[in-house]
Amino acid sequence: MAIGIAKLATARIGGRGRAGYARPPAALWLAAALVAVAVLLPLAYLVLRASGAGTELWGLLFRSRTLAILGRTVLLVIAVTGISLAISLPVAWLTQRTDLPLRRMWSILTALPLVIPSYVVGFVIVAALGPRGILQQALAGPFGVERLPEIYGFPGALLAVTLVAYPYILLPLQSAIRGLDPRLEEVARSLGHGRWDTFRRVVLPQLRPAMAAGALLVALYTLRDFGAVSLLRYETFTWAIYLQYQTSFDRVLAAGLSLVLVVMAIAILFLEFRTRGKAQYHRAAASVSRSPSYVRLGGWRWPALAFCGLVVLLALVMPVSVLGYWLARGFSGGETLWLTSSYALNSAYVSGLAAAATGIGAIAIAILDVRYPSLFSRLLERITYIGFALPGIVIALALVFFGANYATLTYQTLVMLVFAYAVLFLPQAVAAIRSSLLQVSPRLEEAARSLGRTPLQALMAITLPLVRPGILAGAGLVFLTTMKELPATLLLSPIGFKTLATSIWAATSEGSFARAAFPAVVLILLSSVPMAILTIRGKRQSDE
Amino acid sequence: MILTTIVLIVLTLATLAVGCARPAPSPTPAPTVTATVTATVTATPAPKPQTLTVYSGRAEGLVKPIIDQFIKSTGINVQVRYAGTSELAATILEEGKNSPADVFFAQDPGGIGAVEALLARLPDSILSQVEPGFRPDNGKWVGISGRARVLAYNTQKLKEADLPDDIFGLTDVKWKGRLGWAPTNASFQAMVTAMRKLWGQDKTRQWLAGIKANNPKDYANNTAQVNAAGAGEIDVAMPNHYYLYGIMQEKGESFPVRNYHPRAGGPGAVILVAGAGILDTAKNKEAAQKFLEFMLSPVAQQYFAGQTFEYPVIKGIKTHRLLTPLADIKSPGISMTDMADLKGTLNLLRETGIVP
Amino acid sequence: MNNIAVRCSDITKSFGRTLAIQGVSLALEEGKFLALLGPSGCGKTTLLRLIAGFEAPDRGTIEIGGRTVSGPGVFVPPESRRAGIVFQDYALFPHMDVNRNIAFGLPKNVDHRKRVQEMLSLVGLKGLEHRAPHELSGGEQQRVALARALAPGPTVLLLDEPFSNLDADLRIRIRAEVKDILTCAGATVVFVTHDQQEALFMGDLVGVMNAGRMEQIDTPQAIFEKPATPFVARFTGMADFLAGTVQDGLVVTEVGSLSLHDSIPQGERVSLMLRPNLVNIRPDPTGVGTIAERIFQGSHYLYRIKLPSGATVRSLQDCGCADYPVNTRVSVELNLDHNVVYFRESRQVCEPSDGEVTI
Repeated sequence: MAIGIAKLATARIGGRGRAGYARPPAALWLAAALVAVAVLLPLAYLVLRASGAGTELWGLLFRSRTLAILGRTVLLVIAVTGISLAISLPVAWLTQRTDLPLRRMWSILTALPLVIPSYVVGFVIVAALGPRGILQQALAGPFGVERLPEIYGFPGALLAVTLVAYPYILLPLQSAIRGLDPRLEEVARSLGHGRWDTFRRVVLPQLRPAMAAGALLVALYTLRDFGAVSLLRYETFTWAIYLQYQTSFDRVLAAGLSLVLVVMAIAILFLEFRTRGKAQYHRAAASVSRSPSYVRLGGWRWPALAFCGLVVLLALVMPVSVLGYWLARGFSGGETLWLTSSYALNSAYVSGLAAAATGIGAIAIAILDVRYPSLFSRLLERITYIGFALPGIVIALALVFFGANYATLTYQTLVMLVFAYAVLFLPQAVAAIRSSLLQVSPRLEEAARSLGRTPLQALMAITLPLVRPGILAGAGLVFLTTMKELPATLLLSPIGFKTLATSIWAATSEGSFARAAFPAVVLILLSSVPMAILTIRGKRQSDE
Repeated sequence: MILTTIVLIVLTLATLAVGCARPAPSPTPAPTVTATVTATVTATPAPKPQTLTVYSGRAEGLVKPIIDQFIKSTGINVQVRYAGTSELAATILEEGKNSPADVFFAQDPGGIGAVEALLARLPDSILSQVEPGFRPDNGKWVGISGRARVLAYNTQKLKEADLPDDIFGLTDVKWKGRLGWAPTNASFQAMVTAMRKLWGQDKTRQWLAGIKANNPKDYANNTAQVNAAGAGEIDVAMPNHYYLYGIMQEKGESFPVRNYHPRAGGPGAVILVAGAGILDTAKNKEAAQKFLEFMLSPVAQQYFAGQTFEYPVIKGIKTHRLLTPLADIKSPGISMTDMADLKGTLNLLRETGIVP
Repeated sequence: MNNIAVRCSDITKSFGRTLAIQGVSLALEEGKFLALLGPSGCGKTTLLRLIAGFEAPDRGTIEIGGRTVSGPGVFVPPESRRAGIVFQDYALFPHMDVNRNIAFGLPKNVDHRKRVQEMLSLVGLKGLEHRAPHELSGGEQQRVALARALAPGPTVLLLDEPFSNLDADLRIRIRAEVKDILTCAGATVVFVTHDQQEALFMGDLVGVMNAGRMEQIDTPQAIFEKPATPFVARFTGMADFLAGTVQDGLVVTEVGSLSLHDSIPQGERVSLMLRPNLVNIRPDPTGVGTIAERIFQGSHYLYRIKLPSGATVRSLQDCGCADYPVNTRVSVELNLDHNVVYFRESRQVCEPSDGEVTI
């Protein structure tokens, strides 16, 4: 039975304190601490700027107008989040657990709007639904419709932001529904609960963490969105912050308003944290997973199809066809198409880098939070969201300040740009990896440890392969949002570095929709590929 | 100091991460990636003096052709960062002494005025070329091209004669629900600054309140405003003159909007400028001066007049055939220094609740 | 005397304010099986995790194979302890097949193929090396987990509730198989269970734990026959307690008097532990007890007899010769051939105080 063991470890003597298992590996701490510093840089910048103001700041902040903006912002956040939930829950359920015709197609199509930039949706909604827009023109002939309901203001902003943001709930919800243990529903049914009752009392509570995580991203996204609200003329905090830069070059007031936004974000984070609960969701590692029974829709199939169809029509078909219309008009008008393939390559390249770098940081944060829970790791996970809630211009200027003055070597290089993307989009990756990690039993890592692997080796051999779906999903999301990102790209990219997003911006800033349409279509097509792969992969994973 | 260290550590790590993430030696990197390297090199105090860095708030489509011409005729390499004027102004303010920019080419006087403290005084050889109305007294920057404030009206609904002599006439109740504006637009705010100088604070406030009472539609920018006038969404827009011509290029001359320069003059007919200046910290001052000189040369001025439908700022250049000649506009003479008081304008706009 | 494979000395561990382990000591010789038995939450799994190195003790030392792995200023990480572990849910790596699971812990200089084949034949799973974990039955998964833990030749093998995921039938068969496999492998084993039968069957030593303390650690026979505390008595099998008082060297109870070997002060109150097989009953209209309940157990009846004081004792009787209806009055006798355990009530209950009594 004797077998040579290569490693005959010597006892490690730690002078002070005890080196317990519960202490995470140093590499993890280091990575996480660096991420924390990264995320806190913008905050430090805001405090620095705001503290430069005297009493003027308070005067400006506590005007009744600020309160009005606050009220409008809160209203929009609540409405967008609520409607996104109302769209996502039925769509996710229908596409994952019923015999809806063309289920897989719907589940991809409904997630795709995530790839459309909000400024494009804003332009499109104005063009399609605005006064004298495409819809009104179409209705004017046969029906003599002279005026459509006003789209500017709250209704338009609600529509535009919801259409780009709801996939943030839909995606985690879809995978949560796929991961449900069908036995729990069977137990509930056997205990005499009907289908609806089972859904309400057993399924819904299990989906709550996914819904809350998604709703958090939607709410914070609504706080930070600029493109849609400015084009549809609904004054939120982010728009007000932009206006400070645009109209008054008032960095102090902008910082003050941004700090109010941070406070709002913290309030939302706190709310979500409270709904998260203490439940652990490890599924037995090798348990034989059974495919759930699909609910037969019967006559409900038609309303279900109509619902999914309406969502896809508004969120996907409308923007893409308006873009197509502009493109066609540009073509027929002899417009030279203003795009070189290097823009698309640059977009994909820098988004890939951002996805990889953000993924690495997010892995560290997620592992610390899930495997080594402490006040610090909790806090760390929470603060990653602050960058996501702040307008891109604020993050960009914060990094301009630190970069130009304290990190000149990296300033206006890809390193700095990727760094900015990581600060902006970290929580998307953290959320995806975290939920994936929660499904992996820590016993697996312990088994690897007892078989002679160091924590880092166990991480590489066991944890990472098993969390791969989460890493891919998280990095994929970062990739997609980086493709769309504008303010940081404009200010921090290496000089002369052009992407699809910047060329859309360049065209629209000259007022040419025709020229904007082409890069926009390319961006959407290019992003759709990874998006579709993500959706299909996620599905296959659960079918295995 | 600690901050510096931390930032450095973070960035080093990020570099490593990026380095790892980079797929092994890529044989054909995207052409712009090579540009990255150039940018990095110029950011350090390394040689290669003849690459000029320009921050341009003016759109690439408008200025790239003329910049290319500059490169061709001088052999000086130019790299340009294109972004919004205000974003670039904020960037220059944040960068402070370490700004890599040599030249700031702004879309509007407010934007360049915001960074005046960081600009160097221009040599008289440059200043003297520009007509006095198109540069500030402190000589920190010069106008490169001029744009007129106009009322753009829908020709299917109105004739030019229906429009008031002076922009103050728009406060009449008969314009209720027929107006559009872009109050957050820098040119609009410059016009309000002109109002304050020409009319005084009270009359300006009265005008703002009067327009507001007429329920104007807010637009995010001038293009949207002019398009809305064309679509009949509004009857009258308050943009700069050249947006119309840009749209007409795309949609044809049948586009039912025309410009009107208030016949009695006043702030509604003010001429604004897009200006450029050289940063005090510029590493390539000589090249930067050549750049400005080139932009003020007849070649460049003719380009702006012909291609971007703007007004030249030097004498002896012909304006575009569609444009009202500069001489026919009753533009109020107002000094660029007076136009710099943006803060007072913003306070007024905030007080009246027009901008947040 | 064999070498000591695992030694724990005065281990204490708390999580926050909860004291999980209090002053536990044990020593296990090479090749022996130690069963840690106790109710859930008693600290037995924590003790296992302390030995494995997944937790560090607050106080005390742990030695594996004569080397201190946890102690003041010393903490050897799990990967260097040579302690294999099999978890309750087996924790097979779902992204690896059987072959890679078993080879996972093997050092580089070992012939992986050969070793995996050896392990597969040891656990009787030859031919399944390319199966994925989810394609195996529960019993097969467990044997793969065993093979994986045994493959690197650990100094001690730790099993956490190894049979609790199996159904009753399979359980009895598998535990015999596992015992054979482990004996054949010559492994030193510490395993955790809450099932006393399993503990008594598998263990060379049984350690009974309660509320973080080791109540008793001894051979299965001693644990059963001479429990150190009432808790051990109850947890290791059916036990009733009968109150008595010491008078003139005799213990006087309501079913009669017994003589003592130890000297206990006059008037001391004691309680006697009675296993049902030590209690004999006979129908007797003048007897002290009444049959309160009769439970059919196949070859035996288990009677519950109510005594005048209200206390009940249980008695196990062969079916064929002792079939009495409920409410029959009976006389109660204690089987004199066996030693009887008593606990002195004046002392702390948890402090063992066994003595022998005879009539």
